[in-house]
Amino acid sequence: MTVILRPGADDLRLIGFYLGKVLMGLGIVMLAPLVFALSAREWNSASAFAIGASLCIIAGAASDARLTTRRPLTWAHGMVIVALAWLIGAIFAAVPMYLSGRFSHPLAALFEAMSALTTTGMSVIHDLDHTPLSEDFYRHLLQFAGGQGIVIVVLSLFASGGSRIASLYSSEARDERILPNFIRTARFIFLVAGTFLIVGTAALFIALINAGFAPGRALYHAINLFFSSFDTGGFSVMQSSIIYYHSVGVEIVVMVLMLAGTVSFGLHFALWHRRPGEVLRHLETRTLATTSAVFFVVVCLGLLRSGTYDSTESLFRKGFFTLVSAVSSTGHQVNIGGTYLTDWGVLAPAAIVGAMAIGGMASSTAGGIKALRVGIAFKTLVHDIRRLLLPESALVVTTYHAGRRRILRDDTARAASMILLLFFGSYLIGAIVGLSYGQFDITQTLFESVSVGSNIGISIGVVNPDMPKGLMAVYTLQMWLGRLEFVAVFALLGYLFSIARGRVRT
Amino acid sequence: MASRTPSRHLRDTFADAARGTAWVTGITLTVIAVGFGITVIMSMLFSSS
Repeated sequence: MTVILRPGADDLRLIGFYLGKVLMGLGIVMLAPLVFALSAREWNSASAFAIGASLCIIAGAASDARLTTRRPLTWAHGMVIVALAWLIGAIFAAVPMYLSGRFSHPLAALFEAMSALTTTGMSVIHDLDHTPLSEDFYRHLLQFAGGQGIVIVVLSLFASGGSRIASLYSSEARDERILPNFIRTARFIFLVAGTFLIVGTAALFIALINAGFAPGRALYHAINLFFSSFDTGGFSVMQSSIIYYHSVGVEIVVMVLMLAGTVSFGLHFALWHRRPGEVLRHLETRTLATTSAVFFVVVCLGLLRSGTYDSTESLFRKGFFTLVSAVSSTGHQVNIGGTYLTDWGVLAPAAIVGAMAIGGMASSTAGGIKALRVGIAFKTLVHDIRRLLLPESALVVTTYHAGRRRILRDDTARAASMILLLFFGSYLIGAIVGLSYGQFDITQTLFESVSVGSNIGISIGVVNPDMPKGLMAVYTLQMWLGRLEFVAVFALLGYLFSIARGRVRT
Repeated sequence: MASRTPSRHLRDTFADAARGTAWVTGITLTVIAVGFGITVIMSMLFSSS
């Protein structure tokens, strides 16, 4: 029988110490919208940010003063810290949101904060079009911080050694080590985001000026749109999302940014270092290209059959943009939520659900099951069929290319299949809970559950400020589980169990 | 191996960033063009009007 040991005071001290670092970082993030609010004379918003930032910084400083430890992190600590950091981080990030008075209740503010940090992009804010600029900027900034990986962002700034945060990097659903040192990996991720921040914001600024925006307003929209597009978040400055701009130029730049955000940082690294061939060889790119092409053909077929759009241009602008938004797990919309239900028929929304379920690439800012896992699951199926057909004595070896040529091992196949199953379980549970309220049908609840569970953000209308609280809580959990790809949360549950039932160390 | 000077390091990083961003932008624009191509072909094949 396996003996479960109860974590000691030292373990809890270590976890508290790192959580304090994360809260300190979150407090510093809140200072940016605070300065913005002060300069824009938005006094109510400024006081909300001042309270939120103070709480985070006080908690961070207290943990630094009382819990400092030089004990090394283990993988179990890493998992627990990351799972708690995303939950506690969302709770603290929700404080200024709730104080702004734009949310019906504290759970709605927590939903919004979790949606922002996990780059889901579903929103339950009241009257978004009249939200103070600093509050809207804060929502988008949170998506940027969450997309980069809030724990890794903070610890790469505060932690002294790369090896100490290795476990945290992997626990945050980033399993691709780009450079040998984690601090250098985090810096590379920042560098990619920083480069795209300059180029993407400039391109959006030009597109918005072209669409008739005044320079100041164009810059504000460009920065926020960059945060929500490159970090595949999907929040928008205006309630009507991307439709608001009525601009082909804006739509194309946003699509480029969404696709750039869904490219794994490993592939970015290969492209930065003269290895473009990696794009064609990588199992994940091949899987994503194949599945996306199939889904888009189905979307086109569905929309043409239902006669939704009367021109090729409309079909492309609405259909292809929505597919890119789903595949990249962004959630920007060029349709009003109900359109999928009323005008799109059955086939096209079904293909969008499929694309949302798969999501983007592993180790990118995208969510969903991830194309790499789907590719590995497919390779496993082919491997098993080959093993059945060949003589028993035959040695069957299957390989795939992901950064380098790798042999498909049983543990890799098992891990990919397990995560795939867990995602499907999450989609199903969310859909069933939605159905239990009796207000929505299965199309609505499944669409919304997949969108939330994969951290996408395309809504068919179930998520709204007045949705049932129980469903809101389930969706918040789904976003948390989806972003951390279950493992860290399950490790946290195991840790809590060992605190309650474990044997005391002697 | 001789270490790089800070200015050389900066120049190399800038070149890498420009190259990487250009590649990613080029690939994404190609994807969008392919998407448009599929739309045109599907419209020709299945349009009811």
